[in-house]
Amino acid sequence: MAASSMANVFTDVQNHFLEEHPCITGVTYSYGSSATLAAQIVNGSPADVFVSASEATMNTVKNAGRTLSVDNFAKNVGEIMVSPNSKYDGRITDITSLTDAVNPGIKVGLCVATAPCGSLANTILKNANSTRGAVADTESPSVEDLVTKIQMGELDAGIVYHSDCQYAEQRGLAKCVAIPDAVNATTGYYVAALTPSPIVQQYVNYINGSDFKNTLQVKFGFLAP
Amino acid sequence: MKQRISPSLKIVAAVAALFVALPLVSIFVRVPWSDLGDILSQKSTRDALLISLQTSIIAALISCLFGVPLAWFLARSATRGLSALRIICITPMVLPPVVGGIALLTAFGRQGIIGQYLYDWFNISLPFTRTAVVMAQVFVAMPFLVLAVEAAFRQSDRGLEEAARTMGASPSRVFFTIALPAARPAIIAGIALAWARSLGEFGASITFAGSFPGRTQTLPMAVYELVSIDYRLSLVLSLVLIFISVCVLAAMRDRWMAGR
Amino acid sequence: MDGWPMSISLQGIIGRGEFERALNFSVADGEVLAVTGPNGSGKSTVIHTIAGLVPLRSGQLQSDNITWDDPVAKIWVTPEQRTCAVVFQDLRLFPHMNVLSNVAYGLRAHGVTKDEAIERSQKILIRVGLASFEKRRSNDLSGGERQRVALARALVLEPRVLLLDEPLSAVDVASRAALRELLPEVLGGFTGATILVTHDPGDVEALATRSLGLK
Repeated sequence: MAASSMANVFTDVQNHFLEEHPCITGVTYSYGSSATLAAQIVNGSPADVFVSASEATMNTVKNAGRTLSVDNFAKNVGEIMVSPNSKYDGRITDITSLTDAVNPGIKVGLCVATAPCGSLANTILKNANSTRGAVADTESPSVEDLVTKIQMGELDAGIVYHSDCQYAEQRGLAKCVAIPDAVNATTGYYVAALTPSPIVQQYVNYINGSDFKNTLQVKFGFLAP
Repeated sequence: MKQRISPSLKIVAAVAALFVALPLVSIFVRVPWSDLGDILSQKSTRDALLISLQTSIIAALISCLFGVPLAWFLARSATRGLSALRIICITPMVLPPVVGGIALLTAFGRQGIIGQYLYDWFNISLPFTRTAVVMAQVFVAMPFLVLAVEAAFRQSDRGLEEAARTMGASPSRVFFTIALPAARPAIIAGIALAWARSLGEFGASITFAGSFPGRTQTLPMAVYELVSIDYRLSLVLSLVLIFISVCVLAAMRDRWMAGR
Repeated sequence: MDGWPMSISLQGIIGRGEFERALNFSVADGEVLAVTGPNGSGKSTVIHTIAGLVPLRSGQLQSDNITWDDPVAKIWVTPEQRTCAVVFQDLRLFPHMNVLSNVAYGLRAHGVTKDEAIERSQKILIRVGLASFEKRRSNDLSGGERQRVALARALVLEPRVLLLDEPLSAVDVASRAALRELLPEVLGGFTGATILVTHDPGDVEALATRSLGLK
């Protein structure tokens, strides 16, 4: 089970991973908000590996005694993703430009506070002296959902991960507005083995390996842990 | 005369009833009763409850206002393609609610077939507004009302309507003075069903109207969000929803059973 | 008879579903035409056609030289615009209204004010012997009483044509005698044309001025 911000990455490396590990016949992925996934694992979901986008959600699973090993393998920062068709294109420059006060009628989405991208957004908002209520028109349960809505044009903008924004911008699906370091926040990515099979261990090792970390950072915009 | 029921049938019936009753009773058992008042008075709870009540009542009324004439048309009209129209009008009932939400976005979203003109010409953006919540609820709930009321109109005594016509009543007078009063039990049942369905709406609403506490977050959305963070709170809100649903059904009692 | 405007004149083919038959008759003011015949001969269809609930298959239906129904010339006057009133075989009293409202219904539909409608309805109820029955519900009444309400409901409209479909068939034997006395009284005071459908020769004897047999 993996945080949805990793969806693009795993889809991309899937074939490469299977080539390198011929004894593994397949990997099944289940994406969603790390918070939701953590709750499901605690409630008994039969996953072998958990990849989360925040320390807090990983701790939920760890404290429930389901993890056998936990490693931090990457970091992500926040970024403002703007819909390509937005009427406010060009007028979105910083956090305050996301409020109705500065741009009346602008539709902005954030992740729910309980999701890693949501708590990331909360930190950023606090740093920028703004609030959820002033900025957001809707909350998404996962960053995947938020990204889809922005790309569809139903939202003008949202605070997502830099990795998501870069991925979309490379494909012409969105525009990215960077958040200054003073205001920005980071979240850590963790991988945990949940079952004691050697195949699972191979997978976790791969995630922790320099090959994968390189791909993450160079191709997808993640940061070193 | 009381009919004798075979023991094996009783057992099967008991299992079926238990299967439905047990989860509902379990919530009753696990709800933190001592903290009930505390939790119910929290702002997020009050907000979600108010939004749910406001939107669902409006949605039920809109469903009635537009659904009853539609039911009348479906029951009385003789145009071609009527059965196709009826199927289309009932479809939202069997559609997965999320699909309904996607359909609403495709039609009324900012890039939507109708929505794009609303946005480009009038700067009206429907998604993520409370209007969108009501729209999603009407979309999924109105078919329930149309179904119940159309059945009543179909069964109603046309002889009475004919008699009224011969006495000088125009078709619209006949509708308001003869047909509507005769269908009153079905209309009330339809409104109650539409209201209950609106209250419980989640998939279409969260897709089309999104969710933001105090603005568009309804009770079911609050429950969903809380399940992973504050389980006790989600139990309380679930209890509120169950309570309202049971009250609605209890108030309808025999009318619902008789179908008319 | 030519040149005299007939209250009602039907010349053509009536039909309903698979059933069809040709007819040619007219009724003048003051006449009571009894339409007799076995079941299935189309007696009720005559009433429904004149009232406008069933269209003519062909021919013409006229009242006072105004054409109500002519399929070929595509002329059709809707039931609510026709100056006739019907007492149906199954009476069709409105169950959700009391007796007074039932009787006043047609008047109100024609735009008569509430006060005038109440007054006229009360008068007609006295004439049919139901003076104190205003607030009663039709379900609480006996067969004979319900018949009289149906009659009052039609008469209060002062129609040109009164259509009675088997008026005594829904009534028990005991009340039939009383009604047989009432009807001529009421019909005697009625100035328009009456068409009375019945299978009872006693009714024809007692009430009709002419009869038309359908075989």
